[in-house]
Amino acid sequence: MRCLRCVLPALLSLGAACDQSPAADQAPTPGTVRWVPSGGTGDQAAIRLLLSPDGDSVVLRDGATQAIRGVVRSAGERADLGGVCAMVAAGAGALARVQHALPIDTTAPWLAVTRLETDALVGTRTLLPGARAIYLFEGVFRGSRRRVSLQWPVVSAQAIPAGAPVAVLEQAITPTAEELDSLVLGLSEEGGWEVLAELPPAAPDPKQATPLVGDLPIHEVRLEAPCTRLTLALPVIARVDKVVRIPVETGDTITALARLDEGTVRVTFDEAPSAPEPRERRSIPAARVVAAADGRVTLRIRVQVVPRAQATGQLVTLLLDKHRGR
Amino acid sequence: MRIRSVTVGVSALLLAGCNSLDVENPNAPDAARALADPAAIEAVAAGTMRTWFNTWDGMEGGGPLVTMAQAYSASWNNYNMNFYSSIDADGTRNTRAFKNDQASAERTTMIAYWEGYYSVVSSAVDVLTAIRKNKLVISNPANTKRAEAVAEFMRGAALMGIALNYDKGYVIDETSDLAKLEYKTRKQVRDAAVAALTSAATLATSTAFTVPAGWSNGVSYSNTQIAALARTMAAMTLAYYPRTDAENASVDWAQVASLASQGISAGNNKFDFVFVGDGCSSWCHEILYWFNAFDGGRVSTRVAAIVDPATQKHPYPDGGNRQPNSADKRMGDGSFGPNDDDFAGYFGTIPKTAKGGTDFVYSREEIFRPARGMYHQSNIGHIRYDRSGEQSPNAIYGGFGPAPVISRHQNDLIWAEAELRRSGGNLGTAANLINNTRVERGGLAPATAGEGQASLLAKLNYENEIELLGLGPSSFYFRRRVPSGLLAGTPREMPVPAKELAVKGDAFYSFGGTGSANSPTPP
Repeated sequence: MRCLRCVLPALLSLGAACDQSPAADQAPTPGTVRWVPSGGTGDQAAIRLLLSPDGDSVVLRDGATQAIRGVVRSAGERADLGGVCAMVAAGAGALARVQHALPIDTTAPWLAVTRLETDALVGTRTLLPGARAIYLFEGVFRGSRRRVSLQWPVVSAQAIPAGAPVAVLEQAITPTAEELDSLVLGLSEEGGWEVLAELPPAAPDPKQATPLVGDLPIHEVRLEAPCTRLTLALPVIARVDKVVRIPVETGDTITALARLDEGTVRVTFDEAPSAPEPRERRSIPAARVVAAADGRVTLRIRVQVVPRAQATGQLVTLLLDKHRGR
Repeated sequence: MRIRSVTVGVSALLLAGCNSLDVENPNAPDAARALADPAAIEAVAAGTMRTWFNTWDGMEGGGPLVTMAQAYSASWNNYNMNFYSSIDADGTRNTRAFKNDQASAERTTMIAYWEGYYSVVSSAVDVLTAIRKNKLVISNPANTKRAEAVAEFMRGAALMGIALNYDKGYVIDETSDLAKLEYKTRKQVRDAAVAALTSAATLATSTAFTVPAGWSNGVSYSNTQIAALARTMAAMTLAYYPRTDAENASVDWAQVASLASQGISAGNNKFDFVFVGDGCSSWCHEILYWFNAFDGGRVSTRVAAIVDPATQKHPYPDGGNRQPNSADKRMGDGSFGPNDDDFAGYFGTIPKTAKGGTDFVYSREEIFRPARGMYHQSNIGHIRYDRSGEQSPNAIYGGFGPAPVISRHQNDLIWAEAELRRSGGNLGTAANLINNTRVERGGLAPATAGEGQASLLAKLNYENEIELLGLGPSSFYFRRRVPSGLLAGTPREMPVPAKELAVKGDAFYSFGGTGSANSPTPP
C-alpha cells in the first residue's frame, strides 16, 4: 500500500519521507468511518462529505466536486498525533507541527479557534487567512486515536477588518463556519479498528515537542482522552515563572517532566506539598501532583541561567502526562 | 505608529483578530477552582516579589533601554544592546526601530517585560482570588492581610511596568476573564497601576505585619514600609510615564508630590527597597551584574562628561579620556580597588586614593570591539553598589549581595521634581531634597530656593543622571521626557510583542526608526 502522503502531497504533506515500514503493509483491520449530516439538514445539506476508503485510510471528499478535502489516517501511518494532540489540548496556544507545509504562510494567525467535540471525536478548527484561505480542522477519534484532518477552501465576499469578532468571521466566509463544522461533527467511527498507541515517549524529547505560545504567560492545557500525554516546547525567560494550568478531576495524577539543554529548570505544582527550594543552581526537572479536588492544577516552570554565558530566553521541553484517578 | 505589513497576502479573507475563543476556559475567574492551600497561596504571594525583581532589574528588557538612554554603554550583542544602542552614520537611530516580528532576533527585547510583568499579575491575581473571593485565611488575619497587601502591591508594580513600557496592555484583577481581555491604552494601564498601588498602601496601613526576609531573599519589610513603597511606586508610575516633554507637562505633579511625600524617603523611616542577590540563580540584579562590573559595561561618556566636563569628553575622543578630577565626590579622581598590579593591570585602574569616588571608577581599558563604533567606549565605570571595593565575584560583580531596586534618593528626586513642576510648589523643599544627594553624597555647593525653578531643574537633572544609574531601567524613563533626551529614531516605548499579536490575529506594528517613536497621547 502506498502511503497517503505520496498520493496527496499538496494536501497532506507533513515534511516526512513516505513510510514504507512493514506496518504499512499489514492488512487493514476491520473498521469504518461514517458521515451523517448533522444539524438536521439531512439531504438538504449545502455541502456534503463523500467518504472513499483507501486501504486502511479514508479519504474525505467534497460531495459535490469530488475534490479531496481531508483524510482519516490509517493505523499503519505514523501520523503526527503529538502535534494534533497539542492543538487539541492547547488550541491557539499550540503552534502545532500540523501546520508544516500547509499552503499558507506558517506565521499566519489562527482565527476563530474553536474546539469541536462529539462522542466520537475531539479536535480544533481554525480559519487560516490569506490568498488561499482555508478552514482547518485537526482532531482525533476518541476510540482509535486516528487522526482526522479536514481542509476546506473558503472565500469572503468582503474585506473583514482586523479585530472583527469571531461571529463576524464565521459568517463572512463561504461556506460558513457552521456548515463546515457540521461536516466534522457528523463524522464517527465504527467497527474494530485497533487503538493506536502512538503517544509521545515517556521522556521529554525536543523532536516531539510542539511550540506553545500565548498572549499572556499563562497557558491552558487540557489533557483529555485520547490526548493524555503531550510534549510541548515552552519559551521561558530566565528567573520568571511560566504558568501552565491543567483542568483536573479529583484523583487525577498529573506528571510534568522538563528538559533544558542550557541552564537549569525547575518545575513545581502549586497544589503539591511544598518543599524548601534548594538555594544552589540545580534542576528540579520532575513534579507530580494528585488532584485533591475538581478544578485545575497550576504548574510553574522556572529557568536559571548564568548571565553572560547563557541566553536569558530558553526553550523548555515539557512532557505532561495525566492518569485518571480511580 | 508604524504598521508593518501583515504576514500573509490578503484577498479572499482579510486578517482579523479573534477576540474570544469559544472554548471552555480554565483561566476564567472561577473561584471554586482556585488554589485553596494557605501555605501554597502564601508561597505564590512571595514568588510575585521574586519575579518582579528579576523582571525590573533584568537585562533582556532593561539592557537595551539603559544603553539607548546613553546612561550606560555596551556594544555587546547580548540582549540586542549593540543593535538598539548603536548610532547610524547620520547621528540618528533611524534604522533602529524595535524589530517586532517573529523572525527577528531583536524581538526578545519586547518579550521579557511582557512575560515577566504578566507572570507577576497572574500569580498576584491567584492570591487575591483565594483571599477575596474564597475567603481563604492564611493562618491568621495578619498573615492573610500581608499576603493580600503584597499581592495587590505586586499587581500594581507589574501594571506599572506595562504602563511605562508598552503602548497598551491588559488590566487584570480577580474579576477578569482571561479569555475576554481587551487592550487598554497605556494611560488606562497607568491609572490602574496607580489605583492598585494606592489600594495596596491602604491595605498595608490597616494591619501590622512583617514581610519575611525570605520574600526578598534577605531583607524584611514592615507593613508601613510596604505602604511607603507602594506610594513611591505610584509616584514613579505617574512621573516616569510620559513619552514626551509635552506629556511631561501634563502630569498631575500635585498628586506625585502627595504620594512621594509619603514615600520611602519621608519622615524618619527612610529606607531603600533592596533584595539580596544569590549569584543569579533565583535572585538576579542583572543590570548591576553587567554595569557594576566595569569589564562588562561602562557609564556612557554622555554622563561622564556631565560629572566631570574638564576631563571626560563626549563623544569618546581618540585615545580616550584622561583621569578625572571631579569636584563631585561620587567621581573624585576615579581611583578604585587595591594597590595590586594584577588587579590594576587587568582592569586598567588606578589604585584607590583618598580622592577615590564612591560611584565611579576610571579605567584606561577600551573594553568594546572597535569595529562596532568607538563612540561606545568610555573610561568611566559604575562601582557604586560593589561593596567589595574590588570587583569580587562574591559581591555584586558575581550577582551576590544587596541589590538596590528603588532608592530613597530616587523618591527624593521624584518629590523634588513634583515640587518644581506643580502649581504652588515649594522650591525650598525641592532644594533640600536635591541636596540630600548633591551635598551629602556629592559634596557640592547646596542648591537654594533663590536660584529659581530653571536652575533647580538643571541641578535635579544632574542628580537624576547619577542617582538613577543601576536602578532598573529608570534612567531610560527619565531621559525620554527630557527635551532632546533621546537620539532621533530611538523608540520611546515598546509595541505588544509580535508573538502575542500573532496569537490574537492582530497586525504587527512597532515604534522608532523613521516611524513614530511612541503612540499618540491617549485621551
